[in-house]
Amino acid sequence: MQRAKMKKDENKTPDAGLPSVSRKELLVLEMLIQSARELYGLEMVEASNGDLKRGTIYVTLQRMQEKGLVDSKSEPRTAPEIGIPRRLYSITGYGQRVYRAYQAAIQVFSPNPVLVGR
Amino acid sequence: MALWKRNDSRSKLPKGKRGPVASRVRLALLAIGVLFLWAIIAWDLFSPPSSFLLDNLDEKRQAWKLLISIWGAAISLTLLLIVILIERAVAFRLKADQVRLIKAPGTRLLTIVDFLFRSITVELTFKPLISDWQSEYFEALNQGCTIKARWISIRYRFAFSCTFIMAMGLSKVFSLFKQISK
Repeated sequence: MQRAKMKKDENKTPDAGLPSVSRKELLVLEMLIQSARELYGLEMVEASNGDLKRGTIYVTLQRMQEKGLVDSKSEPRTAPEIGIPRRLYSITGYGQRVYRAYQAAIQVFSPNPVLVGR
Repeated sequence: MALWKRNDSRSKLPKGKRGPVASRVRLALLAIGVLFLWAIIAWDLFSPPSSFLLDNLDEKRQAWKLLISIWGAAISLTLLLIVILIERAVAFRLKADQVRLIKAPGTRLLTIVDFLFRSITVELTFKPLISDWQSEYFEALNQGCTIKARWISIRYRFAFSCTFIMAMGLSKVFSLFKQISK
């Protein structure tokens, strides 16, 4: 059921409308794009310098996954390791497009817009 | 769930100071009981004989029964106390070289949320949080920083509470109250 939902999320197009993205969600997207690899939730918390908290990061990530902005998978474990496996998060294509759209919107509505084509 | 080696400061305490408090209290109560019984016996031995012991045969028999039961209880409880003390001494000697196994932190909380929330919420929200908790906690313990490990545990309990509230949707209820109050 989750896979079907994720498949549905991946097929979303900009025609469906730009989804509302919070500041924290944009920050997570930015970190995932900049790192160019999969990240753990704790890594994002440590890299954010206090903007993301341990108590809210996973709720935010779950919401983002339900929107189709990020994808996650369980960390692969080798035999002697025990305990609950951590989750690795990566950005989806849809997430990248949404991030670019928001960046463009920020550029347009900023007090000193950067003019393209000059 | 996962079992881990515990490397905290308890094992560094002197022999007499270790062991659960409840067990020590039980042992102290047993010792007091034994002392009380022996005090009764001593008082009975050294006090002058009561008149009813000499006059009435039935009463004399009952008194003897009572005396024998007190003696029996005193002797059996004393033996029990001795056995417990020997056991504890041997156990302390063994514990010094043993590896203690405990449950990983957050295991019980995970059981609770598993019962309360959807499996997808548990999988995506609570399990990664508890996984981070355990990895940070045991990393600190392996470095020998017991206080840091406890501090991590406190921080993650707080984080868990925040996540719990957010996952319950209580934050929406609070914001609704705020809107109403405006």
